[in-house]
Amino acid sequence: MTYRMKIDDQDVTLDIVARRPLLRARVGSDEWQVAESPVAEAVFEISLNGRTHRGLRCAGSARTVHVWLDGRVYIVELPLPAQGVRSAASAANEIRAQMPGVVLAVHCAGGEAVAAGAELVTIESMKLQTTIVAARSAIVDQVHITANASVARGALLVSFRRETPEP
Amino acid sequence: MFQKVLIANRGEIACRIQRTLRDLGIAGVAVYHHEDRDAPHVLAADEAVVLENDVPTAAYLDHAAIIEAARRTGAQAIHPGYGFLSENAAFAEAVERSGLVFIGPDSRVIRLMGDKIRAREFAAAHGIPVAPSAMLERSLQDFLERASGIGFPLLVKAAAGGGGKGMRIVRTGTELEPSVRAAAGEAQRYFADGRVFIERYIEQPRHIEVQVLGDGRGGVVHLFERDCSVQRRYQKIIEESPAPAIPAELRDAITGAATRLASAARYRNAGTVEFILAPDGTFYFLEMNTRLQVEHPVTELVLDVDLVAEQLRIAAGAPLSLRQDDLQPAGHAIECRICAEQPARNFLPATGRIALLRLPAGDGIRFDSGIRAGQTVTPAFDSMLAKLIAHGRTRHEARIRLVSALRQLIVLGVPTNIEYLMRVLENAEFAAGRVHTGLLTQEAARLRQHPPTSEDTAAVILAAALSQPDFRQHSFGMPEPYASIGSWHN
Repeated sequence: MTYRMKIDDQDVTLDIVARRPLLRARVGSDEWQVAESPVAEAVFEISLNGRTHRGLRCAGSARTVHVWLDGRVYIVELPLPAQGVRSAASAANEIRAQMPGVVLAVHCAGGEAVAAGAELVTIESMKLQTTIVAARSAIVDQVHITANASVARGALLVSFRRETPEP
Repeated sequence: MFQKVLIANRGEIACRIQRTLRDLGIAGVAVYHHEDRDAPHVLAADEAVVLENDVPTAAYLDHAAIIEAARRTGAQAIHPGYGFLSENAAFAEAVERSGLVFIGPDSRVIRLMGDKIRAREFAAAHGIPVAPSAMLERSLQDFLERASGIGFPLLVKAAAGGGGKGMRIVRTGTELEPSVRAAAGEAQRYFADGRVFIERYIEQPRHIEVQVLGDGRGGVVHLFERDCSVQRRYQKIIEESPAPAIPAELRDAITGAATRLASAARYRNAGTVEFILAPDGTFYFLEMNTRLQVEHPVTELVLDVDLVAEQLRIAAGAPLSLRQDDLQPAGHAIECRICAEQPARNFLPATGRIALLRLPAGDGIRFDSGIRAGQTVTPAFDSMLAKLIAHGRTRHEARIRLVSALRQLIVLGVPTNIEYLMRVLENAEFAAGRVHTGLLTQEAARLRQHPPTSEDTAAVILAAALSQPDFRQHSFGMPEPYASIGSWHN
């Protein structure tokens, strides 16, 4: 699958060439062997063909990520949700926090019928905002958190009823 | 000395003034619009008073509300900072009438210097060189004839002007009349005053200004000059002191002219006399700013003075604490203005939330800021966020320190001109001190951002994509939470 992104208004494509044994990605016309070390807060460390790049990143407005690398700030526009990079909750009957963070907003309520793609919860984690969307249409059974709450990784956020909503 | 002072401003300058108040043991009162309720200048003050207004900038221009805030909090004086009400004669007068002290000059002097035509006449009458010029006095035809007599190129300027508004460069006789009409129309729209005048246009001029302090009784000292030639869209972005490559006699002539003007006006407060310096060494009076300047820190660093403290002492009626003979500049200082803007899009102002802020530190580094992480930069106010200033033993050292500090300064979440400033400071012409007001236009091609290398592009694209847990999940097809925690290449 090709992800169409923009870096400072310039179009760039990203393809995953291989996942195993090591990740290979093609950015534009160049292919790279990619490894990532998790680093605290907004810091990232990504190695490309064995060379390490260390920088900072944070969520910007709308679908942008601001990245600082080697004295330069880049604004990256991410693909739109329809193009497939938006978070989709799994088909399971509950949604759990993928990372420790703070709940910024709750977009659904208990008893509400939500369509596939509907926004459920926005979490800020390591200065990055992630909006979790419904993977399928469902009826929300219960919302287990409120806005501004801190959540640990794996914390239950939203549970769904077993039945599916009337079409 | 005052016990309590109200600061009628916001942003970095309000924080800067607050710092001196604290140093002198004076309580500081901030005023703010609701949109600024969490701004650093509010948090830094001892007391804060909200100014009710639908329009944020209008709140900081509300004479009555600000004077009332001062009275209610028991402040004895009002410091206007720069911009907003700092050069508003009616406000200064209202403050004086209310029995409070306006930290600035007499309203009469503000009015004189605020009118470019009258200020020029005043300067000329006191032997300060002014550029050959023509005023619109009798008929337009007469004006155009006299203007042509000066010799092209000419500059059409608005009497009430500033910031390049109402300004036109005219190179031929046929352009003259349409340019005068256009400039007058623009001046009418921006300043509600359509009066224009014409003066000789100096090619590749430098903008040199002299910092003065006056006691209001004719006593004046000058604090040497600043070079503010590096401008974009008629606005300064890099300023330095001393001005590079100025012979001692020329420096003496310019600082002497500034001192004479301030003394003749019986100037009280810190003030700045601006000049245009031609490549052949002739210089002309431009205008006088009757307030603290944005770029005052470079003067403070080379002379080891606190200009805000001097303003406060003068306003409290004390004699000048500095003697001309004691003022000897040491080293060199350069300031750059950090603005929320996009240099690649003709310096278009930018907005956004400052998600991450890393401040520079180091020998000779000063950061005057009115921002904090988490703050939202809105289009409601000026795009200048902060000023970064470096002091060194030489211009070279100051410049290298400033570049290093700019490299350390990270603002993420809102686009800024930080990288552009680094390129200007590293530009060969700037490094050589060959500055003039057209420098950024002349060097535009060399100042353009290079496209990133393919490796940097890949690193940035992957850093952005991998910040999205959903991207990990879709790309690697792994169940959450494992896809999110950085160990997906198992």
